[in-house]
This record gives sequence, structure tokens and C-alpha cells, in this order.
Amino acid sequence: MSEAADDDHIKLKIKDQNGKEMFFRIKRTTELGKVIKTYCDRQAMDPKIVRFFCDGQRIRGSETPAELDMDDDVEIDAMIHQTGG
Amino acid sequence: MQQMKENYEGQILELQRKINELEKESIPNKREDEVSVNNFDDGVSDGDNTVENIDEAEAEIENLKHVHEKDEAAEVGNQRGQVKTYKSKLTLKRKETQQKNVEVENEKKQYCIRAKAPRKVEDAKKEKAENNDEIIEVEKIVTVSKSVEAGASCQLRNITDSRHYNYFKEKEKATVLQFFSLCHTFSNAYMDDTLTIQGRLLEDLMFDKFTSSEVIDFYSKWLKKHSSEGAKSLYVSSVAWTHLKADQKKCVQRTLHDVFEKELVDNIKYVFIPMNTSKSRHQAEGYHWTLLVLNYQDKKFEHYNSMKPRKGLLNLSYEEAVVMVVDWINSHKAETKKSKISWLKGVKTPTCPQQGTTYVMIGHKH
Repeated sequence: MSEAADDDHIKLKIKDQNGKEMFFRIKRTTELGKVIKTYCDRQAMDPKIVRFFCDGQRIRGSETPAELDMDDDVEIDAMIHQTGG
Repeated sequence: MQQMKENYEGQILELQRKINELEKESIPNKREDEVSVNNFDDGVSDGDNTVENIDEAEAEIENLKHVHEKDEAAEVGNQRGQVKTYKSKLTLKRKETQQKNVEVENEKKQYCIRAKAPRKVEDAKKEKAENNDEIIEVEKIVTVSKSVEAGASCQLRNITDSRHYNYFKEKEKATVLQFFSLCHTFSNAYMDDTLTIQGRLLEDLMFDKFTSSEVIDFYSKWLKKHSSEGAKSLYVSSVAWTHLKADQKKCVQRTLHDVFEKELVDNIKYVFIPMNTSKSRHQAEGYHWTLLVLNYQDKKFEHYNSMKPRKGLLNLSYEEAVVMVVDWINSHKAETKKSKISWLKGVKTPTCPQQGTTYVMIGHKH
């Protein structure tokens, strides 16, 4: 792959609470919501009940990797929505 | 000449023996699938044997008859011919058995190839699928996401039905009423850099459903802002404990350890750590919020649980709190070196308001 293409894209790793990993490649300027949607589709989960964290910060679907200044091979933690009574 | 004759006869016998041996050997080499064919082969070969025996006997009789009549040279030639035929038979048999072996081997190979090949294909497919994932998702989702968002959001419930509504002040009532009547489940009730609260979470809160971590985070922030007393407190993110439990190191570093390092100043009196603990070992029983307090004034850990189990039952959330405390001690050894000794060992569980079983509320917020 050429260098220009590498600059455009970054690789994401989404890891769930059990340590299961899934890899994505995405443009720096693409909203992360798309990754989240795909991940939830693949895992057959409702996007409402999953939270995504990068370095302890909640990720919003409207944000892009460029905005969050993500590096290549960044690791995102997926957590089931925390509720309790 | 007599010697030659005996020689040839010996050779013939030997060759026949070899043929028989080969036939016997060829049988166990064959696979089970070919049993029927085997039997057939055996029958044929048996027949051959008898034929050969008859031939042999005839030949011997002839030999005996013609021993005296025919020239010994001719006889020798005859026997030579027999030897030749037997030899050729032997080579034929050998070839056959070899062929069979080769066939069996070939079949084995093919079987192996068949067994291996699909896996390779599957692997390749998986790899392709994964690669496709990464690339396709970007364009593909555009259509999907729109439909999902459009379908999912709906009107919030009527807030006046909530039994907590009457506790609001008049001013608050108006704003809450406005929000609940105008907004949808996905519209943001509150939003800042790190926190977004959507309408549906408020709905859950107001109608005694499960309380989400965002609401607790918001309350922590609100308390931090509005703490009127001189007591300085540190509020840890409500997901920190879950990060720790799931062993997500980066997140733990960020939400727990960094916070302690940066914000744990001398005059802080309390550290509040909300913990999302499981009620029991049965997952179906759901989760429950408890609160771990590091009391810097009295140097002790306090664990508030609004739903203590009955006596004798396992208090899982308490156990988890102990784990948390142990981790906290371990990760802040350097920091707490002086004060560590003075911290009371073990976790205290002070009495706190208990919530009923029918209505789910948050104990530690009151």
C-alpha cells in the first residue's frame, strides 16, 4: 500500500470486556459512528447499550479519528452500558 | 540336465509361492471400502490358483510322459517357457499390487487434499471478510445508520406520571416538563466535553428504571461544582471500576490512577468511587450501584451498599470493594507510603438507607 493511503487510513482495534478483539480500518476523516454501528451489527448488539472508550474517554459517534488525534493501531474498549439499581 | 530340471522346478515352485504371497499381501493393503471388490478379486485369484495347479499337474504328467520320449533339451526348453510365463505372471502380479498400492496412496492423498483444501478456502474467506469489513464498512453504513436512527427515537413519556415529579420545585417543574414534552429519546439533555446525557436516560431515571453511569457521572460533577462545605472531595468516574474489572489497562490508567496522581491533593477529605457491582454470582440478577469512600479524615475505607444481602448470604459487592481497595493500595504504594500504616485495614460498611425491593432507587444519592 502506498504511503498516501496509509496516511488517510488508520487501523482500529475494538476490544470488549471479555478481551475479544475486532479490527477495523477507517479513514481519518470518517465519523467513528460508522465503526460503532458496524461493530454492533457484527456483535448483534444494540448500539444503545454499548459504550466505547479510548484511553478512558467516551467516544461519540460524531467524532472522527482526526479530531481525537488517534494514532494508528489505536485500541478502543467496548463496554456494556453500565446501569444498576 | 537332471540338475537343470530340478533347478527349474524349484524355480517354478518358488515363483508360485511368491505369487501367492503377493496375493495375500495385497489383501490387507486394501481399504474397507473395497471389501466387496476384494472378495471378488480373491475368488478370481483362487480360480487362477486352481487353474495353475491343474496346469502344473498336467505339466508334470506331461513331463512324466514325455520325459523318456522327448528330448531332454526340448523339455528344458518347455520348462524354460514355463519359468518365463510364471515370471511374467509374477511381474504382472507385482505390477497389480503396486498399482493397487499407488491407487490407495492416491486416494489417501486426495482425501488429505480434500480435508485440507476447504480449510484453506475458509481461512481465505475469513481473511477476505475481515479485510472487507475494514474497507466496506465506511461506505456501507451510511444507509444503515440513517434508518436505525430514524426508527429508534421516539417521544418521551409524560413526566407528570412519574412519582418523583412532585418533588421538583416549581421552576424545575416547568423546565423538566418542557424537556419531556418537546424532546425525543435521543436528544441530549446535557452535554459537555466528556459527558452526554440523552433523554432516554432521564426517562429511565424518572420512572424507576436502572440508573446509567452517565447520570452518576453528572451527579458527581454537579456535587463537585456545588460543594458548599469546606470538605474537598474527589469523584472518580463511574466506569473506572468496570474498566478495572475488565482489565482495560489504558482506561484504568486514565480514569483511576491518573486521577489519583493529579488530583489527590493534601486537603482532600473524601474520595468517592462509584462501583457497578453484580448483586450476586447469578448474572440474571443484574447490577447494582454501590459507593466506596476513601475517608482521608479517619483514614478508613467505607463501602456504602443500599441493598445489603440478608445475614449469612454472600455479599459480592462488598468483596468487590475489597478487591478495589487492595488494587488502590497496590497502585499507590509510593504515594501512600507514609499514610498506609495509619489506614485502617479492611473495609467498613456503615449503615445507610436501604432501598426497597419493589422500587429501584439509588441509595447513596440520598
